[in-house]
Amino acid sequence: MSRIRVGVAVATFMSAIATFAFAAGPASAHEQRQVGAYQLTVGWGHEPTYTGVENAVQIFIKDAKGNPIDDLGTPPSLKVQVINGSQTSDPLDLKASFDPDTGLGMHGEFDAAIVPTVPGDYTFHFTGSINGQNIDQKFTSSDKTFDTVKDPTEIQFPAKVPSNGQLAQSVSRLDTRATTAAKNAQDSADTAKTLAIVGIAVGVVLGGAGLIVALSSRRRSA
Amino acid sequence: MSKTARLAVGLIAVAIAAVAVLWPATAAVAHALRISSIPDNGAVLKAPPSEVSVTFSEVPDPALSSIRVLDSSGVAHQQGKATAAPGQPATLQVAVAHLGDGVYTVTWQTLSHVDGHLASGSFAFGVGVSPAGAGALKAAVNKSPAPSNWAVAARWSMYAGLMVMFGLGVFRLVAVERTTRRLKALAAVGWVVGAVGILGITQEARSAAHVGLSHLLSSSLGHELALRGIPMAIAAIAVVVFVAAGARRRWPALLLVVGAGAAMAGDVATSHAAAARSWRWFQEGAQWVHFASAAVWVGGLVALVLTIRSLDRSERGRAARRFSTVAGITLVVIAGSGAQRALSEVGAWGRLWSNVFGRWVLLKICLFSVVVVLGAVNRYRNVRQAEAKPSALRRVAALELALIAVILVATGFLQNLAPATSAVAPKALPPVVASGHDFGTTVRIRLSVAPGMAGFNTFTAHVVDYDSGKPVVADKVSLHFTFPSRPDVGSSDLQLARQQSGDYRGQGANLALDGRWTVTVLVARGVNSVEVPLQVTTRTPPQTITKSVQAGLPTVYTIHLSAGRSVQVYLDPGHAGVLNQFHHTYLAPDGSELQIDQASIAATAPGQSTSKPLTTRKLDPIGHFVSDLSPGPRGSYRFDIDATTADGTEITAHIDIDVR
Repeated sequence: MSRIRVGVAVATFMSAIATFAFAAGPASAHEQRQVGAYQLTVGWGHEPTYTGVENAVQIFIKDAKGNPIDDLGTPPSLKVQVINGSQTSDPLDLKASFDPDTGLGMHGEFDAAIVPTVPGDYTFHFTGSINGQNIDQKFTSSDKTFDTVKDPTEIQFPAKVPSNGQLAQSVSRLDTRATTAAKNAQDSADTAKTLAIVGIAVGVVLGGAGLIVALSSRRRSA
Repeated sequence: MSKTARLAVGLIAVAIAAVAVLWPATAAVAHALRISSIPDNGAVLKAPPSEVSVTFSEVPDPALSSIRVLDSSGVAHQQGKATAAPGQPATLQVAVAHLGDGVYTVTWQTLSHVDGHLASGSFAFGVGVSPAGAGALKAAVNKSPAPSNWAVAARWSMYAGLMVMFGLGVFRLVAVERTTRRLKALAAVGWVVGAVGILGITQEARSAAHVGLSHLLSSSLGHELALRGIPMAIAAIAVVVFVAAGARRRWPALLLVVGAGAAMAGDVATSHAAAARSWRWFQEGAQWVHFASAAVWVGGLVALVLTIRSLDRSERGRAARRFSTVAGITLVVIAGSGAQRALSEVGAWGRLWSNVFGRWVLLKICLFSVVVVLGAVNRYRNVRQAEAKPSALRRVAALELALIAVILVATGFLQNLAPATSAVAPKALPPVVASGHDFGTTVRIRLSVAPGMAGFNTFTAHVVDYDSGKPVVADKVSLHFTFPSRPDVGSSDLQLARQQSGDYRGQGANLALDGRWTVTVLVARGVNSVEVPLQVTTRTPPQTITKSVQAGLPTVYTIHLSAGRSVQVYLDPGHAGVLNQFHHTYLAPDGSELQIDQASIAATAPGQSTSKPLTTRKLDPIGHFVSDLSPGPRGSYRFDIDATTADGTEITAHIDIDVR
């Protein structure tokens, strides 16, 4: 009897865990959209989203009945491109979060790893199909959808250190300035060299003229 | 009609025509004009204000001034009468009942404590909604009733009377050896005319301000009456003595000059010169010198015209020559002091044409120039013939007096108008500005926040390349707002739109509370996207702080807040290098402690730009707190106070205290 009770308790506990695991939705800062028979929920894997920190494009897919979809077909054709400003990434593969072998991961979740390197808004462009349903959808970060990417300065402690992107910008700027300064220095040196040559030439001419005048005056006096 | 008479008629006609041209254009200016207000015109507040305060260009009389706060249906929401803000007599404030969302119009009326003139105006603000959006926002209005003819006449009368008294006294002292009957009569007439003028000025001001006789003496108008009337009463004694004394005595004339001069000083003390915010004594002195020198000339001229016939031949010539010399000197003084006063009250050359006050000054200058020419004619031609033929001198002098009478009309108008310098449109508060650049030194940003107070603001970002200074064209520029000292206050975002000027602009109520905000500017332009963190501290309403110093005890500061509330603070022991305790107690208008739910203090050490929150404890169950300031260097520390009362009212204040 006691074994039965223990078994019931364990089963109840596991059921509760499972219920919570299945019921747990995606993080709040995601955009949800109905596309044909499927409900797509899109956002960042980790929010708030900071530059230079590994993250992922995250999509949750459910069917019309609300059941999570783990199989996108064989071979899976759904891919995502990440757009920032005028830059568009190569199509990225979406990997299922749920591993049927270990039972770990979230049903219906697919991720594409990415490290955002600049702050601002990002657009996720999904193309392909889900079990025959064509998908061509763009999701853009905003204060009403999912997070805009920020520099991590505000959460850095105790010292504020620049991100790789900021360092790259700084180095790029310094390089440009150094190149400009070197060019200016070269220009100045060239100018100085030209002036020196002109000066020497003028000196030679004047010196020669002076010598001629001195010699002719000596002859005259002689 | 003789040539001189025709010339006189012509000149007077020209002068009257000039007066007529300028006369109708006098309605749009006032004296105690609105300079600024809280809330400002057009402001959109997130939370309703507990009071409305308006700052004026001159000190208003609170008893005879009013502020009304009306909603869109005309219902008044102010509570009680407007009162002067503590320590700020030029600012009137009035408490208001809880205002719901909507547009509110503030109408005000002031009576200047300085010169007794009326002014009125209006402006609008919104709670939760924009007055512009409701179509109610207009430029703030400043106006006053045009000076009445009687008011101008009364001033003319006062000036004429005082000038005659003062001038004939000087004339008797320097030009003639005896006091003739005509001079005595003239002194008496001058006093009567002057006194009538003073009474007339008071009556007109009283009538315009609707002040009853019973309240006259207790009002600022009574104060003005006393300033003019008491010296005038003393001058009456001088006149009596002057009239009663022997003809050969000179000292009664001196007494008359002193009495009339005192009465003139009383008028100067209620003139525009007395409203000067700096160098007031100098401005009043210059005004008195201008008045007195004009009086010497005008009064002396009147005395000369009236008495020259009654003098014998030698006296005539001597009197004319002596007066002519004195008049020549006074003309220079009049021109110099007048130029100084004009410069002070007009302020810029352009306002001589563009402003009504300036145009009257210009008319005065023109007429004065004509009178100077006539004076020169007398000085270099007729004075020499005065012994034998005084009629020519009298005719030209009479012509001068006629023009002077017109100048006095212009002066009467000028005294009833706001100086051009104060009639300039109220200036908007300068925006709060924060500047910075990104770590990679790719862009520089200058963010202007107008008006820079908690509530609705306009944000303008000037984004330029760090090196070239050229405007940066970005895909998007947005602001992210956080309030570090209050983590419970959520962050918010605002996207700015590109303007034709190349700047980026947006409006929003993101600065919801007074204090220091972190505003992160995102400049999105692909791989060159950057963020620039900036610190924006909202402009807090002007505070009045009083302090109480007692030997051996810390100095106690009282920060006077709106609606009669206050915060009493002190720093104990106030020494460098040791732990200091910052005590803050919140008080209701009756002096009792306010029930405070939460209080936080952020301190900024000397030389630092960022504040640090202090550990704060409540010392009693009501409203006495203490915050620990870690040992630090000497210098001025800024304490930002943020508290919430039990009824949810936010209290924000700040104070700078020296640590020695």
